[in-house]
Amino acid sequence: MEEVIDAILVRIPKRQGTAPFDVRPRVEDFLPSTKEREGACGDKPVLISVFDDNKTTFHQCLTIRGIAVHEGFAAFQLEAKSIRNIPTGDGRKLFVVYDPLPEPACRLEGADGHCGIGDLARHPGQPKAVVRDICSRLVDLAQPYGFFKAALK
Amino acid sequence: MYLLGQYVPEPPALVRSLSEMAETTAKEFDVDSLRAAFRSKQDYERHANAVIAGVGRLREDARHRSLDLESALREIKTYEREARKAADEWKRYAEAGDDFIQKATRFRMPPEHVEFAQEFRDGSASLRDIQTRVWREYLECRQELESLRKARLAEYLNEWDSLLDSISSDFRPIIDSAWRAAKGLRLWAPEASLTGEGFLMVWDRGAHHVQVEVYPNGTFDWFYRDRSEEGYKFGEGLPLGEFRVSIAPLAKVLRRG
Repeated sequence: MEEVIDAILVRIPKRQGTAPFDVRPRVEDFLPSTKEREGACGDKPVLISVFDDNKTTFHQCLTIRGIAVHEGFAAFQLEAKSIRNIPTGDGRKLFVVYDPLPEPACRLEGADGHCGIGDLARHPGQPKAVVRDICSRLVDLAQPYGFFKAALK
Repeated sequence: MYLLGQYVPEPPALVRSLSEMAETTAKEFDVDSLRAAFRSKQDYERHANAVIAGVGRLREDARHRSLDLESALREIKTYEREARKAADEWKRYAEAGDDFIQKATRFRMPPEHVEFAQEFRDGSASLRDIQTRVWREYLECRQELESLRKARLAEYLNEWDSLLDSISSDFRPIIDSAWRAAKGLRLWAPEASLTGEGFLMVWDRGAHHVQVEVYPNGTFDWFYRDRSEEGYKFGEGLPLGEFRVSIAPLAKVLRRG
């Protein structure tokens, strides 16, 4: 899988919980969903879904995720190079890879920008705290969508 | 400083080094740098005005709920602390200048020594006043953000009760028990979600991050991370009866912020 070294990634989580401040990223925004956990099989790690801002526009992200523009949703941006500094508890660090979508989503415009942040699996012998730590660090890195573009102006 | 950097400019280099100098015991006056600062008074004025304008925009965004209050509070405390230290250092220099003028006059030192001391005192007093404005701006902003946070958490407590009502009846008593214990430790209603395995509650304040997940079998996990340190602490598979004992120390650090 091709690694993503330096890009801005967009994460659009499906929220079902609650929190006092909608704008703020949450731990649940980065916990692997059931679908994301089931996506890991064989040698494939547990990846959480994100998009490369250079290859997929924001509206394309919404289309691929099946979210209508008028629906309420949260969206965050993270820097791939910062993600790659987060430890995973076994001497390794998180990585970001391009993650091809299955049919028919792979035919949608912008689908080639789909990536995954991994590995968010809990390996045998590891406590759940490893994944909790990773998610808390991703919360720290995440900024509301549009933040980096505004900051660069 | 991701978030505040979007609103306010970096402080001038001398302000940063003043707040650092305030922490050291060997406090030497770098006369040339200070003289350069006195001559650049308008740069400090411009910076102060940019801070006041930027902080005004940040407060407006906070009132309209388009700001991550926790991150803003965490960052603004650092800016406030550095601005205050720098203001205190200018005040110290101004007082030292005053002291030197008195001695120079008493001991009839050459006029150029007295003039230097006056330049030193007046320049420092001027920059002290400018820096104090910056510090007070951050202070008042922080107070307003804390007030907005308190108000929002009070509103959220009502929404929290509706969330609990939507949870299945088997699991509900266990969650109620954990929440009662958390309230007993004076914790506020947390970020919460069903994870597929349990019910996750998250509290975040300042450098402190706590996760507690309770399970239908009556056990719970806790996780604590201090952002200012490496590593984390945790406990897993604990009986609910140990909730108060395990979470009390974490609740204490969270409340201190």
